Amino acid sequence: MKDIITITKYTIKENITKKSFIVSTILLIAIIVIICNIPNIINLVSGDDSEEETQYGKYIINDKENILGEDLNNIIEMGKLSGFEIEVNSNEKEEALEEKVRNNELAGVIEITRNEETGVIRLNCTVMGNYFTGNYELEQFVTLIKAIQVSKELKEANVSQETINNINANIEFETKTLNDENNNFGIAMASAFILFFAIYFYGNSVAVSVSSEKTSRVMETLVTSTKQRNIIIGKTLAMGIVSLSQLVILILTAVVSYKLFIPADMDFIANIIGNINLNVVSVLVCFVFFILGYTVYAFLNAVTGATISKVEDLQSAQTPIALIALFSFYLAYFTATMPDSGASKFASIFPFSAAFSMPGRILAGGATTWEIIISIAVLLITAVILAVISIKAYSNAVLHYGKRLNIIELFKISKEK
Amino acid sequence: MGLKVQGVTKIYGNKEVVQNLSIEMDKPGVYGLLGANGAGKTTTIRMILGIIEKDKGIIEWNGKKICKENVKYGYLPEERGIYGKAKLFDQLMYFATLKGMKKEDAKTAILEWCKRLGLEEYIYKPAEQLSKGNQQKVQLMIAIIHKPELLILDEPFSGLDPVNTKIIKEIIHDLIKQGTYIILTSHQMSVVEEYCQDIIMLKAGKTVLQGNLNEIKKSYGRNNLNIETYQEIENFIPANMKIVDKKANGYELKIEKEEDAQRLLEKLVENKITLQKFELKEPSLQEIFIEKVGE
Repeated sequence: MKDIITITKYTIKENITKKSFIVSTILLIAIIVIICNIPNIINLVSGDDSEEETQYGKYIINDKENILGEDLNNIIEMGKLSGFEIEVNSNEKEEALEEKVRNNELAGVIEITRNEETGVIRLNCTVMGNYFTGNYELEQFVTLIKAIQVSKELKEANVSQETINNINANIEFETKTLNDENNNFGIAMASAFILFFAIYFYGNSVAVSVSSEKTSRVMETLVTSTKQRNIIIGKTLAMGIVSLSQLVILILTAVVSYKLFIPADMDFIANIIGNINLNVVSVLVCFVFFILGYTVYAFLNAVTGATISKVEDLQSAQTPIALIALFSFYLAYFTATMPDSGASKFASIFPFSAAFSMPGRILAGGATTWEIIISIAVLLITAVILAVISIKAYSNAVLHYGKRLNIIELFKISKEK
Repeated sequence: MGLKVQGVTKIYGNKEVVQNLSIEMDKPGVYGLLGANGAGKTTTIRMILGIIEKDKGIIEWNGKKICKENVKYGYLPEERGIYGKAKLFDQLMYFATLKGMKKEDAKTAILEWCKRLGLEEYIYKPAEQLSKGNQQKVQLMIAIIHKPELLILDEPFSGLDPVNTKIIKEIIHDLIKQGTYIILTSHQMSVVEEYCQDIIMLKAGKTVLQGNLNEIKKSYGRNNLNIETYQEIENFIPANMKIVDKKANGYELKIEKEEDAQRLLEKLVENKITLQKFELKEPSLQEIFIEKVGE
């Protein structure tokens, strides 16, 4: 036990003082802070929130045929509410206005005319084409001008202002959701995504650590200083602590950044957060899944690291683990949309995908206590079995130099031993 | 008492890589474990240290299994390896702690050894800044820092310059004086002759020669004849003597019986040949090694 603690402490120190670890942690913290500041950055780039500034730029609306008359002036105020700066009936020539649009001094010019055959209002619009936004802005003008036309014609037909206001007002609607699944599958998918990256990459660092000790031949000295079992357990434990600490730092950064930087009016984020079944127990259970999932993959990675003699062989040696991890991740990811399906239940019990799938279901409030207990038990048993097999395989592989060992050769050596 | 390795065999697949090997060290000293590459030396060392399991035989220290709890042992592997990025002090402390030393004792020992080996200026620097020779000294420090009772040195002098070789030789002499049991493997036979009272020579896992080095040499008899002269003497050399080497200042001959040398000397004196040297010698360990292993 003393040796395990010594190895754990040394490996933690070795890893947290590595430049790559420090840089990646700082970089991830910076990315989280920047992501949480995107709304503020957008505001900064597009100017402040003062009423003078508009979201879509300035439009000229000309009504040379006087179809809407004085009522057209209403569009200035209506447009402002929708983020447009509007000037009506400009005296400038058509060519001059077109030039301004071309130079981005104007967002567009809209000419109100009538279809000569049908008499229906027709808008001739001059804008710079935008592949991404398409005609979204112009469609809003259709709505605004239609509203002005309707009001004008109703007024002319002596309809009361109150009725006109009622007609123009938007119909209100309210949704009462009886099932939270639609909102919560996003949480399950997001947690599957985060846990996959955390477990897979942190597990991978165990393989890197073991393989670098083997290829640098430090292993020869290490195995005569302590038992191989202590080395594999100490390393797995150390990398687990390093990973968990980094993950906690990143989660805390995200929480603090959310509180500090995300504007209070961003309802959709508040809705998502609000839908998470966040309490101490669920958070602790999620950590248990992370630790068990990490343990399963870390032991597999430790053996992989021990089978190679050259660092460049590590990637190809890890292919089987990568395939298992990817299959398990997609299983968890795609079943997140249907949490009550058999496939989803399988994903949250199958030991290689349980850590990706179950935490999402817990946070979304879709997992029963029994399912959680069974899932933890399966993961725990798998972790113990894998630990026993890995320690045996690691001991056989760790002093084997030369051609990379495959699973069959590894078992052959175990049998001989 | 001491180290007992009896009838040890290791089998990989259908191949016996070490066959019925026995080594007994009942008093401190140096035991030479010799053999060509692939003879089974490293496998033997790993079995003694318990890194790999033996298939047959007994390996004991003072009647008990060799493990950290029963004996303090150290190992200098042939393949050198230290943590390049880690500070010298940190990794020495790491290995010293793993070998059961208390932190305070380890710190004192590290500082003392670094001073003795001239590594004081590197003590808080990454090990990758050290030269190859200095890295080798660090590796030796890791093997002996906890004052082992049993020490295995695998090629301790390979790649060392004469100055560092001298330093390491002095340390090994000190360890012998302090009563350490040492198993030494080396391809430099002069090193083995300098340190080892007893040797075992392996060829493809089989023991081809074993025993006290002096007695082994004596058993071969004095069959090397070294003659130093500037005159031509080939006509006097009888057919049953083989010229091994002809130099500007003489001859190296292989003889069958010492009496033949006596007769040759008489003949040369009779013919008034001026001799600088006429010496009968036992075979060197190098010659014995080539004879036993090089066949």
